[in-house]
Amino acid sequence: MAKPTYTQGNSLSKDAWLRLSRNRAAMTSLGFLLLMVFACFILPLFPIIDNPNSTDLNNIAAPCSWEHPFGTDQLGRDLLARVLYGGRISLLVGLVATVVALIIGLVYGLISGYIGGRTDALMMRTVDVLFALPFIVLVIVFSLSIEEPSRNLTAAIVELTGWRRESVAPILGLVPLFIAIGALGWLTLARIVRTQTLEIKAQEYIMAAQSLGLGHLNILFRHIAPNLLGTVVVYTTLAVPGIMLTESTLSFIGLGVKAPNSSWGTLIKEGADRMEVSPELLIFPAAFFCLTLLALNFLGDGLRDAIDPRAAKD
Amino acid sequence: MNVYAFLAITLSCLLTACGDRRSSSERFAQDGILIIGNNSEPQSQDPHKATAVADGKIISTLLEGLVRPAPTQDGEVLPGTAERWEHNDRADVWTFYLNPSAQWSDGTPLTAHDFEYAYKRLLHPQFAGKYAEMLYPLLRAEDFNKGRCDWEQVGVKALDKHTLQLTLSGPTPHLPRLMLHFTWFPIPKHKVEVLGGMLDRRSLWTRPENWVGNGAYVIAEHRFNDYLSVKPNPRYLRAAEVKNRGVRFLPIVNGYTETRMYMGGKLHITNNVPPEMLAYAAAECKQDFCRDPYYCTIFYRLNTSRPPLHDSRVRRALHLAINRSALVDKVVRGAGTPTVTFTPPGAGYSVSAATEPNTQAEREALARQLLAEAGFDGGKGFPVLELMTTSRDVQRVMAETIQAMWEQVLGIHVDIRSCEWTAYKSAQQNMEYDISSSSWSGDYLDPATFVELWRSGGGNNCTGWGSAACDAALESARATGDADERRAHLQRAEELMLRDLPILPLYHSERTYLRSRQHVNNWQPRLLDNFPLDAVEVKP
Repeated sequence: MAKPTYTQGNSLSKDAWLRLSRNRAAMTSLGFLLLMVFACFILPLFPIIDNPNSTDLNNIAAPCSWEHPFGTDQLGRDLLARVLYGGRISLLVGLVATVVALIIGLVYGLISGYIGGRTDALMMRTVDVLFALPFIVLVIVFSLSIEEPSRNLTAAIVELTGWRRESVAPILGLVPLFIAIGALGWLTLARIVRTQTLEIKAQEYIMAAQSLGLGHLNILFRHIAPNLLGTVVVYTTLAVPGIMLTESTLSFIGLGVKAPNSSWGTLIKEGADRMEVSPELLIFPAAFFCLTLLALNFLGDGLRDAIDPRAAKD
Repeated sequence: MNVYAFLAITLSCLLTACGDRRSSSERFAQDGILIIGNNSEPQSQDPHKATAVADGKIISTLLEGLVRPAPTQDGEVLPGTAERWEHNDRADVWTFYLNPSAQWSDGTPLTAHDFEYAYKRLLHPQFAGKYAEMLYPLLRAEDFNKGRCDWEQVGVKALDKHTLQLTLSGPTPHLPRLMLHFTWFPIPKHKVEVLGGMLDRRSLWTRPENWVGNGAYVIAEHRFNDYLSVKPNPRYLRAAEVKNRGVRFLPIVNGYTETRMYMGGKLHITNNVPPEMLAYAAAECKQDFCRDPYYCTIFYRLNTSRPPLHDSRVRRALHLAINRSALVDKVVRGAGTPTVTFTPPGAGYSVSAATEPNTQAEREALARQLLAEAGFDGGKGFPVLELMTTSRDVQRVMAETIQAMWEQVLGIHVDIRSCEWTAYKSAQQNMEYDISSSSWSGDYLDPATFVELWRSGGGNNCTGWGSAACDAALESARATGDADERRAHLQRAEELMLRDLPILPLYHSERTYLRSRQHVNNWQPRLLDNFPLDAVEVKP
């Protein structure tokens, strides 16, 4: 008599990972993104990358060379260094603003969906109203109005920690942008989370938890929130490119990062102006930006297929 | 409608759309209309509210003063609305005789009272015209402007409908040249009175549907941030002499965009080719590329009412730390001359700046020393100042260069804030800035147009700086009739200003632009960039 063979059951997350690792486009994208994060955040710590803001007026708009792999810009600054430091800011804005949006959207959607009834209607109509307002205009007004407090914050932090202002300011100067984009970018997520919450709320295990006398907060965060994870992760990967685009739009019109610091948005603008004269200034930052957006989209797609097979298109 | 009819219509639409392959510069040239790039969206067509060069160009086509610029030569003056004029021996009482057939574009006769009305409006203390000091050569004009006397005492008098008598505070033989500027133009009294009255700053009389003027053109259409077009005024005095059939002004701030639009056949004349495009534009456009002298200075205003810029040592340190020859060489790409003085040299006028070391290394050492004396040794404790620029690319690049120079030499950090034009302009006029990237182009061919800027409390001073000695020198310059003595007084006033440095002079700029030789005829470069557009011929 044959012995029954037992196969170890796969956990949900392991299943998802298996499915993801079979998706070649998503895995390549993941690799590329990791590389990009390494290049933008770790590489500049080593002295092989020049200071992105040190000008050299005797070496302006130089073509590619061993010393300056991407050439130099209109003020003789190393373009490779500027692209990497710019990527730091663009990626950071994408990530931080998404996290801000995520927290607000998640809590808002959860509460709205879980309580239901009139509260739900009121909260969702508020979202509708906010949706109707022009996003970019709001971000501009908002980021301008919190510029002053954030400058004071920079000064306070410099005073407290004694760090050099030049190293703190580029990141802290973005705080208005983080908050503005994040605080206004949560609307879609709130809607998605609410719909999901409504669906999960009707499941038997929630009823079971309720009949066992579990508190609302416990139910919300122990039983509902974890089941939203897949949707939220997918949405996040797909939202980051959108937010990075918003940042570059704002930098393009002169809000956002302050000179001499750069983000991919400002680099692309400066390059676009000079495209006949020195095309490298446009090609390199634009290539980095496009590839990163593409990779994020592929990864998001792959994650959706992997985590939520029912939602897959095919 | 059946499917075939629909297809036929669509197809014919497509075909007609494809049929006209001519560029817009060719199409407009066919209609005799000139399209020119005009820097920024005009703020106002009201000659008493406008201050920008872009506004001046439009206003000069819409209104005409007593005199008009000759198309033949710089600084030469032809009769405009006045057919002749005379002055007394001292040249301080002038009588202008208006052309009796002069009329407004709605047919109302134009009288000397319109001029009187216009000058009163600009000078009126309640109207707060930014350019009021352009009329200060008039007797007691400044007193009236500051609320110290009545209008009756000001030297403007309409003797009858066609005679205007101007009494000046001092001999001014060059008065007609001053009058080429739009602040001396008349406004239609009858129209302004109906639409809100003299002192209503928000009067809508300049709106296209209300517009009444006496210039070669009237406003045809104004589309915000798109274009402002003017068409010939049939009631203009010399309507038969107008060489083209209209002008379209496009507000294009970005010089790169503008150059590209020119190459794409969308413009006849551009406003400016950015430095980094000079070599490229010269190679691509060959003889269409123009590079003309210009009566203009690029400089930084310092807000002397804010610490630490109230300290003249700090200002001089900032001044000395700038390597101007590198700036002009590398950033402006040679389209200018480095300067440490303000007024562009010419016609015997030259100013000696305060004695400064010659080599850049010595200048930088002195700059560090001065900063240390002011209490900021090595830049320690120096607050972060904000350097405000317009959104023009060349200004931003220049700001980044100077930011790096200050950081390198003095160890201080400034933030760059680039503003859209209107925001920039209002921040500057309300003195809500630390350092402002500025430029000044002459309003008339005389050093006074530059030096008069620094009168205490002047409408375009905007630095908070003023000195009694400088004001007195300007006053003596105005009072004297002798050209040499006058020049000496002006030079002295500028030297006094440069000793205190409320500004950092950078360079005298040249005008670099593109002009289509195929479509534009009879165009001549002007030091003031005020060539009369009605004399430009447009050929297909």
